[in-house]
Amino acid sequence: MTDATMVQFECPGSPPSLSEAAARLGVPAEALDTGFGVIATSPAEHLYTVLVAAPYAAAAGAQAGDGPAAGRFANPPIDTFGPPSE
Amino acid sequence: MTVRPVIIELSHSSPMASSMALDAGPSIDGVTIDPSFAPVQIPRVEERSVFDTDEVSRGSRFRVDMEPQASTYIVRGTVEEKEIERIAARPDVVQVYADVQIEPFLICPGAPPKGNATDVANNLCVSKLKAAGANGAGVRVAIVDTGINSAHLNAKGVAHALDAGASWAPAGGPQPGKAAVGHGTMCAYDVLIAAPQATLIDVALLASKQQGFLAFLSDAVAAYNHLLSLMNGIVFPGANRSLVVNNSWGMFHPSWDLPVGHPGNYSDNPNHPFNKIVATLEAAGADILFAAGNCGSDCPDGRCQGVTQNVIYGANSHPAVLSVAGVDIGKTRVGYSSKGPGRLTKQKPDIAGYTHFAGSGVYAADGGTSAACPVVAGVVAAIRSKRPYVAGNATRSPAAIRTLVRSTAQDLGAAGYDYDHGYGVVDGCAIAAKLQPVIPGPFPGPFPGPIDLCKKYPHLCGIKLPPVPKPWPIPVPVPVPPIPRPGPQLEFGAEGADGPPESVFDTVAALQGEELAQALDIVWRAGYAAAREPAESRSHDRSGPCNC
Repeated sequence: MTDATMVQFECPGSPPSLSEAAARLGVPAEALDTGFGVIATSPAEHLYTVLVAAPYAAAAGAQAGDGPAAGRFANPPIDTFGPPSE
Repeated sequence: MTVRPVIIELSHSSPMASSMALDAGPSIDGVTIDPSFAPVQIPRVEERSVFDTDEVSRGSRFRVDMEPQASTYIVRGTVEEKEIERIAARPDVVQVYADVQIEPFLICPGAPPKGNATDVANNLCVSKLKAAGANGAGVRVAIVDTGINSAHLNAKGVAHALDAGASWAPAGGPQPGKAAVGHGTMCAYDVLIAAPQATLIDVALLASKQQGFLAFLSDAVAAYNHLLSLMNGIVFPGANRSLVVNNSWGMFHPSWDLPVGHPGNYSDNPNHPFNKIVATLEAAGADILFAAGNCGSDCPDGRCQGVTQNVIYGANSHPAVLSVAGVDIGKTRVGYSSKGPGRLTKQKPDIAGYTHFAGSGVYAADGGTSAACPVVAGVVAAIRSKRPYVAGNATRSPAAIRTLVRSTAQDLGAAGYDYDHGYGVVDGCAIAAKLQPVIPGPFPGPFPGPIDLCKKYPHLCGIKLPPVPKPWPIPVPVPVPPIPRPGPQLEFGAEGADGPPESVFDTVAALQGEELAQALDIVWRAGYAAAREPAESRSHDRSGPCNC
C-alpha cells in the first residue's frame, strides 16, 4: 500500500483484529493494509499499529487516542549505509 | 610576497652547537625561526663496507655516527620565497626544504580497501574467541537487509547455516538465501568473521522497492513483528534463545521525515511505532545493532546532502541498541562515519567496528558503517554462544551484553567516551579474556594449605556433635548446674527444680588438670546438646551426669 501512514493506537484488553481496529479508528476495513495487519508495537503499553491508506489517515489518527504514542506517524523511506558514494 | 614554511638543514658549527644546548635555533638573516621547534640533530648515516664483517654479520647494514661534528641539524621557520636561494647558498646551510602540511589520511567514499577480512579477524582476536568457545554456535543472527545470497558466500569459502523457516521477506520478496548478490550478502559475510558457527536468518526488508526507494519504515515494523514472533515462539528446553539483529540501514536526511517536534516525527520521537517495537524486541531478549550512518563531517555520503550534524536518527540512536561507528583496520575513524550525538540518545554511537576492508567481494571494499555493524554483530553472536540469553537473568540480558561490549572496548581518540568512536573499537581479545577467565596456578612459597574451619570449629557451622557416651569415665561424678533454657526457669531449691547441691561448685573448683578439663568439656557438650533440642523435648531427668 503506497502513500500509507502508520497509525498507532491504544487498545487495552485482548489484541484487536483488523476489523476491530478499523472500527476502533472509525475507518472502513479496506482502508487498512491487510498485509501489514495489526502489529503490537508495545504490548506492555497496549499499543498497536496499522497501515492506513492516505485518504483515511487523518480520520484514523484523530480516533487513535489522546496519549503521546497515539496518532499518525511518519513513514520515511530507508536505505542501506554503505559502501558510501560521493 | 609569498612566505613559505621551510626546514633548514645546517652544518655543524660552534654557533649551532650553542643553539642546540639552549634548545633554541640560531639566528639566520631573512628567516623567522620557530622558537617552539627545538633543533633536531641528524646523525650521519653511512652504508657499511662489505668487508666490515662483524657488523654485517649482525644484520646492521648502516653505520650511524652520533658525533656532533658528524651531524647536521634542522630547524624550521618561514622565509620569503625569493630569499630561499640566497639562504641556501650560505656556507653553514646544507639545504632548504619545503615544510609541507600533512593531515591524517581518512578513508572516504571511493577509497580503495585497507586490509582484508583476515586482518579484521586478527584485530578481533577471533582465534582467542574460538578458543574460549565463542564462535556463534547455537546463536541466530538476523540480517535485516536486502537479502542474502548463500551461493556467493559458499563460493567465497564461507560455509554457513541459514534458517529458511525463520527468514522473512515482504510480499514478492526473494526466497531465503537466494537474493541477488548485494548489500545483505556483504553484511552476512561480515557477521561470519567473528561468528562462523552462527545461524543466519534472512530478513529481506530492503526489497519492497516502492516509489524508487528500497523500503519504508513500515516495512521495518513488519519485519520486527516477525522477529518478535521468533523470540516469543516455542522454546525447547536447553535451546539457545539468543537472537542478534543486524541493521545496516537508516534514514539519510531529515527531509525524509516529519519535522522535529511534530507528534508524528520519527528521528527524535521515542513514541514512533518503529522506536516502540525496537524497545519491545529488545525487552524480549534480542541484541539489536544499528549502523551509525555515513554522514560523517569529513566526507559524508552524497545522500546526506551536506547534513553532518546530529545525523544518528531514530532507532540508530535508540537506547536499547548498540550504535556502531566505523574505523579502518588501523583503528582510524573512516571519514564518513557519522558522529554523535544521537537523536534519541545523546551518547551514540556506542562502539566502533572495522570497515572498508577487502572481504565479501560484493564490493571493492566492505565499507560504510554498514560493514562495521555486522562485524560487531558477529562479536555479539560469539559472546552469546558462551552467554546465551536467559529470560529473567539480568547478567544475560541485552543490556548486560551492551555493557560488556562497551566496557571492554579499546579506547580511541579522546580519552574515554567520544562522539567519533563511542567507547572505542570492539575488542575481541578483551572479550575472550572475560569469557574464559584465567585460572591462577598454585600459590608459590611455603604457604599453609586451606584450613577446614568447620572441622576445627564444628559449632560454628551448626554441625551437631554425636551424643556423649554414658557412663562418662571420670572418677568423680560432677553434678552440673542447670543450663538456662527458654521459658520459665525454676530457681534452685524450688519445688520441681533439680538444682545442684551447693557443694558442687566446691567440688568442681577443687578439680585440676585433666579432671578439670574433662569436667568443663562435659559442661560444654551438655550445654551444646541442650541448646539444640527443642525445650519441650528436653529431659528433666538429672539422674545421670549427662542428662541435662
